[in-house]
Amino acid sequence: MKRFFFFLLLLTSIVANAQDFITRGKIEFEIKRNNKKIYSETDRANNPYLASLPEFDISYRDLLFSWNQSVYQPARKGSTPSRYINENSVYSDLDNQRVVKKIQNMGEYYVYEDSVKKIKWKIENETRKIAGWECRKAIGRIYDSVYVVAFYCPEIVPQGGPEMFSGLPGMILGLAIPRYYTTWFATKIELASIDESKIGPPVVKKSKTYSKRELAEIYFKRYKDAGWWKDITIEKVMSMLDSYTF
Amino acid sequence: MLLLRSFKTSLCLALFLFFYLPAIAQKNSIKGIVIDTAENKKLHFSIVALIDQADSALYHSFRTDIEGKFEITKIPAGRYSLMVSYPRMADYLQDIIITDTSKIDLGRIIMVTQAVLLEEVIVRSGLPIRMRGDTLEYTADSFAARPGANVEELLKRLPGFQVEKDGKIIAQGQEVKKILVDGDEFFSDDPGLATRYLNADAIDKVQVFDDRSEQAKFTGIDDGTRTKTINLKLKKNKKNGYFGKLAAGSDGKEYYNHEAMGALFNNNKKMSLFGLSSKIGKEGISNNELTKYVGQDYEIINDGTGSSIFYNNSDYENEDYWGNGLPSIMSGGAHYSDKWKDARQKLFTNYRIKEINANGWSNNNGTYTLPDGTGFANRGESTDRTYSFSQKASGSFITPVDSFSTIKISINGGLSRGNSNNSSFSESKNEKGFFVNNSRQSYRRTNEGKNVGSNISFQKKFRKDGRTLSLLLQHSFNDRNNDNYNYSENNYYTPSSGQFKNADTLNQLQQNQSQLQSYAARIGYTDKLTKYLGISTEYGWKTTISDNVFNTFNGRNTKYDERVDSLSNDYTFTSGTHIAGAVFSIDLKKINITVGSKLYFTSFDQVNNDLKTETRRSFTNLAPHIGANIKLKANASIRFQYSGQTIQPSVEQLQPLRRSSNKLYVQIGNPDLQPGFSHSASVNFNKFEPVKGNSIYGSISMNYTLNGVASKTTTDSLGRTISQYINMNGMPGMNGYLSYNWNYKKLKLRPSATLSFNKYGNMYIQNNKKVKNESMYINASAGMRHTWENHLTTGYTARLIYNIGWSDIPGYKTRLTFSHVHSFNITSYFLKKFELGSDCSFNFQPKNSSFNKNLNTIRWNASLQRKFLKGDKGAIKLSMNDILNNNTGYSRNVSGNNINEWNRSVIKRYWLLTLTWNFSKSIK
Repeated sequence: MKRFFFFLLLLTSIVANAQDFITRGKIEFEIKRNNKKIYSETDRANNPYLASLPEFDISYRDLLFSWNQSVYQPARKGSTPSRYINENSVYSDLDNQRVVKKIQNMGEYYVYEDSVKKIKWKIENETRKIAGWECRKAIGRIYDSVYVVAFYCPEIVPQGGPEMFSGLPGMILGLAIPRYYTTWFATKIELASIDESKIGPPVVKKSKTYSKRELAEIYFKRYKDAGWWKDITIEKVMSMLDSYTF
Repeated sequence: MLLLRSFKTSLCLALFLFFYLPAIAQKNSIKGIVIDTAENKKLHFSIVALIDQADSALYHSFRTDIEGKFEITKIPAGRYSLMVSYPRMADYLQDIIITDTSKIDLGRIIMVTQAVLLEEVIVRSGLPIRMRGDTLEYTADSFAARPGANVEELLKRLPGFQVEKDGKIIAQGQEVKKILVDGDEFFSDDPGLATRYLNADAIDKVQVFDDRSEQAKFTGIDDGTRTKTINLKLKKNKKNGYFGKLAAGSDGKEYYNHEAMGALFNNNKKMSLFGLSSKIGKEGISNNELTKYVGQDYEIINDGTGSSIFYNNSDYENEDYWGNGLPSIMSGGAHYSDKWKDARQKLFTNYRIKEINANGWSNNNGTYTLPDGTGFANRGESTDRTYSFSQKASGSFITPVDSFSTIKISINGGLSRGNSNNSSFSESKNEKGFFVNNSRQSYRRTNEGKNVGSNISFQKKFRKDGRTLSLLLQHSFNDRNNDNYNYSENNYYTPSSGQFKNADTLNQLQQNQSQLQSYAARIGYTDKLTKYLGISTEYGWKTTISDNVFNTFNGRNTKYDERVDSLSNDYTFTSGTHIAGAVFSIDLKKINITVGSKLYFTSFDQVNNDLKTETRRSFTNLAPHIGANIKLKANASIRFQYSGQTIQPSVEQLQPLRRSSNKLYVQIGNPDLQPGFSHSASVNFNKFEPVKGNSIYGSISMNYTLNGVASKTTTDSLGRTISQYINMNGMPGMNGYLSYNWNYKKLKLRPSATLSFNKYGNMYIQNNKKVKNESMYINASAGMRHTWENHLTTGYTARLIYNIGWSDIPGYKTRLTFSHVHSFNITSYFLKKFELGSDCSFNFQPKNSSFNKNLNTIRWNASLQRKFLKGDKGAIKLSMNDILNNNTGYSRNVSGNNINEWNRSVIKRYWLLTLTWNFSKSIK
């Protein structure tokens, strides 16, 4: 199998001759959340726990991709003292505009299916190097008012990216959401053989694959029963489901 | 078998329907192939992105296949920018409109590698150069102009640009004729202002393109005219704000140069003011001095009578400073423009004022050979004092009537006055060495002029692409009065012995009052017959009435009241012309051809109000025009052009008058002059390689006039000349130009070479013999520039100039004059804040068969500048002009049977201490 992929890789590189375009590989993203910015000076002064937090929470995710299919899954351990570590992951099938997400709620994992999130991107003229790859800047907008800055690599053909971000003319290797003080940047890219069998929708033993609405209704019921989130609405649950994987 | 076949067909049909049906809403498609011509490669996996112009968001992006091809279907209708990008290549951008049914084939999209470009520029951010359709776009910040630098300094750094010493800008091998700021003219058509006063750090992008004529842009039918244009896009935060410059320079005594400029931009509102007061007699002052004219931003209806009229609305001759003496100039201007209704309604206004005072002297030596082998050696000297004052204003208002039509109203006017005083002495010897005459002359001239012009145009577009209708109404009025007080004393000597013979004096006032009015109207219609073939037709009418009253008064003591009837005339000249024209234009992808002609049915009515005689004449004139533009590659093109035109004699040439300010020379008008016809043809070639930074530009042009206006002169043995206008065939003229600029990136060297020639001739009748004179200039120059980024730029140019004069006068030898000039310049930046600049030119004019003196001069200028304040906004500069005090103002020239050399007063050594402050602020 490995030999076959090596052969395939060789073939693509022959076809590509001068310019190598990447269609499959593994990208490691480093995710940084800026605690200092999230909590204000007064918060930190009044709360010794918040004051003890390091400047950044750091975690890692791997993105395995082959053409327009990818899986975004947990990778090596980072240091995230302020967050629980989870096994959340996202499978994207861009050909069919479909994502399947594995998500933890109250200690249990669920799987639900959604369509690819549509983002209006504006391509900018700025470029920068990420993990040794030349990337170009784009600015997108989610939830009408939250700006996202992304850097995509034109040399990687699949139009995917970390989390549920996609739709640029190349793989997104860098991402920043200033509103949430969070960044995703590729730290290394492996082009050597990847096990493509790992690229598939996540499954959880106890859970079937829900639709987003179905799962939101389950959550909504639970929150309501628990009673500790008073002004909960189904819309709020829906948007909560869109949150990041960590 | 049959069954199988029919099954196959129905299967195909079913499949077809299956794929077809969902697409029925949008049957559109766009396709193309992306290639790199440098390596002749098809670029697979290029990104082809469609960006919606409505919100500049990415609609979708695609990749080309292995053959570099792409095809996009089912696109929602709208306006898009298509962006093609490929790693390490400059982006290609093109605006496209997609309808539900458009089938667009973009053909070959040629990509240019940016790798080489990146080597030489410091990239701060973004892609330094991209192609947007036919526009080359430079990101200004990538070229790291120093703080406080103006746009001119920025342009010098852009690959493919050259800024010459006199401020002329060459882009892609061609002279830039127009500079726009955010798409609008800044202070009308005056490129100097924007490059001189705008700061480089206010510029976001510099765009270079070949602009089409206003007419072509409106009608969508290409008429083949191209103007090299630069558009300076301002940074967003500089669009609202003010900026300016204050500079004061003086040597504490005689020389000074003060400048002030301020501009305020607020959304669509633009206001600017400038003032200049200078007495440093800069060379090429007409180029630098910013105030050529307030643009009349409409096209004047041409009635084919050409120069019959003293040209309306153009510059007054006395406004230009001819380079004599030491001028002190005061000049100012103001500009205001605003836009409303999504920039469809616009107002532009400009105002200029200028005053020049100049004193000077000159002397000259020359020889003049007559057809019989005799001739004269002349010597003369003169001093003069001139003053001129002028004001001009212009304005235009453009407003949409509905979404298809616009109305534009323009008006412009000017006032000018001036006077000049001149006194001179001249003497002539004949070929035997005897004096034949000498003359002492003085004159005083005062002149006054005013002019008004207006234009109303209505333009309407129709739904059909290319179909337009336009209406034009024009009026112009021009009034000029000249008073010339001439006084001359001439002495004549016997040619064979040099003994005094007799003397005469002339003491006259010559008054010339001329008035011109013209009315014109035109209706034009254009349409596209097919996708490639357009036609434009027009019908127009123009009437011009000009009155010219020329009165000569003899002077007694200080009174001038005795009118000399034989030297006076009141003449009215009316011309009425019907104009019919049609032009076909063929617009293919690579070639664009225009063929057309105008027909002028002209009637002249010449009335001699003194003699009460009237002459009527009518002509049919033809003005054919053929042009072709061939686009060879992305950055290479060839242009051919031929046009024919009727040349009409001017009123001065027609008016039956003897004009003379000195009895040594009398000019006689001729009312029987016929129109002539001139042919002109040219071929231009240019090629520009943005990657290598090489450009080549060549042109050759010819012209020939049949039955033009020439002169018939009689010179007697005392050197007295009478000249009359007659019709005669001209001599073909020709000129050629070839320039090549290239680049050694590694060595940071930019060599260039230019070769040009200019050959012209004239025929005239001298003492009843036909004389043919020809002259030719050959100019070869080569130069080299070296740039050591942020430290040192050095340059050297050598120029060889040959001037050859022929004449068919028996015994006349071909005269060759040769001179060469070597110029060095150096600019050095050190200790961050200092700048040292120096240039030196060595001018060699060796002796030859016409001139028996070597004349070599060295002109050396230097300056030292230190910047200060935050952002280097302030500068103090010490400059020294002509350090060796070597400027002589000497020139020599051979033209046919005329050999001349002259000296004039010029500014020599001086120093100047200049303090400059640039200011700018953004307003949110």
